[in-house]
Amino acid sequence: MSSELTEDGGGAEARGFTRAGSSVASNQDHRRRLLRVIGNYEAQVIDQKRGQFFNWKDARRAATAIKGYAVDHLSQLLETFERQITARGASVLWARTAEEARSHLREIAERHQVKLVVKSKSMTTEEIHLNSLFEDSGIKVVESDLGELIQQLSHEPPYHIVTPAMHRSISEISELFSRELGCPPSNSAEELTMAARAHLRRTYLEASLGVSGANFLVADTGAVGVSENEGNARLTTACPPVHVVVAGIEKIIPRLSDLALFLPLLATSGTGQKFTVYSNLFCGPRRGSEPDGPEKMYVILLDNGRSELAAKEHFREALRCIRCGACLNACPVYKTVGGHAYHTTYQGPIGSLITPHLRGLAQWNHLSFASSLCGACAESCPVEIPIHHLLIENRRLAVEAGVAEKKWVRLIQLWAFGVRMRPWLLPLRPAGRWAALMLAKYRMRRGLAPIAAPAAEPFSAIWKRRQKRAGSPAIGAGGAEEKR
Amino acid sequence: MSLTARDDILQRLRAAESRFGASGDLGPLTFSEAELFSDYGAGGDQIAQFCANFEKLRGAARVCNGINEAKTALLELCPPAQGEGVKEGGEYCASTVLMQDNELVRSVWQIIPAEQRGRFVLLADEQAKGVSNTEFARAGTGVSGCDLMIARSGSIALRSSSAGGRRLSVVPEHHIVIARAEQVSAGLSPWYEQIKNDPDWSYGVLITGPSRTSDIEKILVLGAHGPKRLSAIIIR
Repeated sequence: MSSELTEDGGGAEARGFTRAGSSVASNQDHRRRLLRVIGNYEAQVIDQKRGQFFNWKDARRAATAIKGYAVDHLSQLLETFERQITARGASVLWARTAEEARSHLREIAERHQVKLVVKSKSMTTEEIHLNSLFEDSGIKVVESDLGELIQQLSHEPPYHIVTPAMHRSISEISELFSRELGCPPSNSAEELTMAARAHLRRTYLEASLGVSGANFLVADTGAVGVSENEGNARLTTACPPVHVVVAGIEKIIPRLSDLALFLPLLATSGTGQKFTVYSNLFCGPRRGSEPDGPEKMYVILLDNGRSELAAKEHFREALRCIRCGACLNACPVYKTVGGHAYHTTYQGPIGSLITPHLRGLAQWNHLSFASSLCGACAESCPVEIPIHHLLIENRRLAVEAGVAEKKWVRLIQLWAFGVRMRPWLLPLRPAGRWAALMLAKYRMRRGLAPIAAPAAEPFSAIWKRRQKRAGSPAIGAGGAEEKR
Repeated sequence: MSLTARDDILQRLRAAESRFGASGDLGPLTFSEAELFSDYGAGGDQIAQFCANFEKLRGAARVCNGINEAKTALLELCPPAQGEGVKEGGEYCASTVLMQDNELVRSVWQIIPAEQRGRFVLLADEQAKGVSNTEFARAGTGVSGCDLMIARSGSIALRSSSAGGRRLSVVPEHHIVIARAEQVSAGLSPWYEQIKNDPDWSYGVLITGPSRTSDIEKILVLGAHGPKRLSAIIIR
């Protein structure tokens, strides 16, 4: 992998990836922490797959079919969702780009004279850089998910789409909290969590706007599903008078009853749980009869490149993604270079796959090579996205679009040329054999690790002889013959 | 002429769908919880299964015969902190127990001995509207009803309409759910059937254990932002 990375050192983004990735790869401490956290995850996921499902493959297949249906009927399902949730009193706003989403948010903040925003965990709001938008207009934004709060206080983007601060050690967090929140230093995760709890309580109660993301947009009922463990999404949407949801259009699922499959699927793949602690459903602002809840609810449906992805053969499968993070945890590259090397909103294999489509193939094509193509990502994916195959497709797309790294393309062209010219190269074979023999002898003389000397008879000759004898060109048949 | 964002997005999606979209029918894409989940209906007794799963998640479950036992369980679950009741002037404090005014919870509240009842506040939805967020946050315990209890996972399904709004079940440090034995269900699907066509709720949640996080070095901590304690009283 590392050789591919250095060979493909295109633009500034690509160089950044190589530099940041190499620095993490050689940081033993960092990697040990990463592997410990992910190792924990793997054991829990295996437990859940065995303990909860009769057959994980059946569950995956059903989920793939339902999400596949949703991707095939996006327009229709989004319209149904809009109609249903509007009937329940929410306002739906559409945004083609991150900028349009930001301007919707700016208007909402002005309309409701927002001073303090509390936000629950959402990758889509990272995608549109919501925090900087509000901060630029003098509005304070507070992240309420513990991991996100740690990242916000350390002025760093999330390290992982599900567990944003997994790379931080307790002592780092203790130092951060005692500096930023003024609490006494501690080496206990519980004490640090309680410090964050106390710090955020007041924010929930005083904030004038609560922002959340969405894990699911339920079409038939007009409901927004948000899965979480901490309760911060609940408090974010229970106390402030306005609730804004920012959701990617691909989050749609057809029916409320589909959640009986998707909630355990997401919890299993995401964190190795049966269900997350809170699986929330939001459908509209407070009803007249209800004692509390926001007076106003907005749902911003964000496209930002997704409709283009829907128009691309094969790649549209990536829209099934439920952002569980399983492929990150399974990926040997992610485990080696860490989440920040990517410099993308979505890291790991799924990020490598979709970022070139959402943000431009020319700058992000290097991520198509941030993979060993081992397929662990596709294997772990609960909605069967063939991620590693699509990464190869991305490479092809880059060559066709003329944005692939030139060195790389020339190398492949040279190789292809060599293959085509093979019959002309055959007479050179004895020279090749002689060179290999010399190399083997040289290494032996110098006491270097030995390499095998070339076989007495070249492969092509063995092949020809066998074909003549067996009358069959199958390699398997030749192998069996040898054993006899 | 420029399209609105909505029409533009939908038009692009429709164009993509006409190229690739299978016109498949959603009908056959169904699944049943009984076929997918190995713990569905396992063990026969749903109440016992619920309790076992609930306690595994570190919730406290009490199965009671009648409301009298339920009252005793409630008093045990929230003993008075330093004997303090609701402060003078009606201000809530840590030992205040806010109770949703529904039929079942009220029947338990009514038999709490008069000398103890001071800190148990029966809160009708209409009354709760007037309670500020800050005031609400002072109360230590919230008692609510729910829609269903899910045996296979030890989860509690409730909605704003069935559990006294949004705050009661999440703001106080201790959340106690009081339900009847008939409300225990093997799986989750019946809840969705029940609430699908009801327009009169704005919030629903499936609660599986007390609030937790493992964002710091994957170490499990209970009570991240929501309730630190979760209890269930099931009345037979």
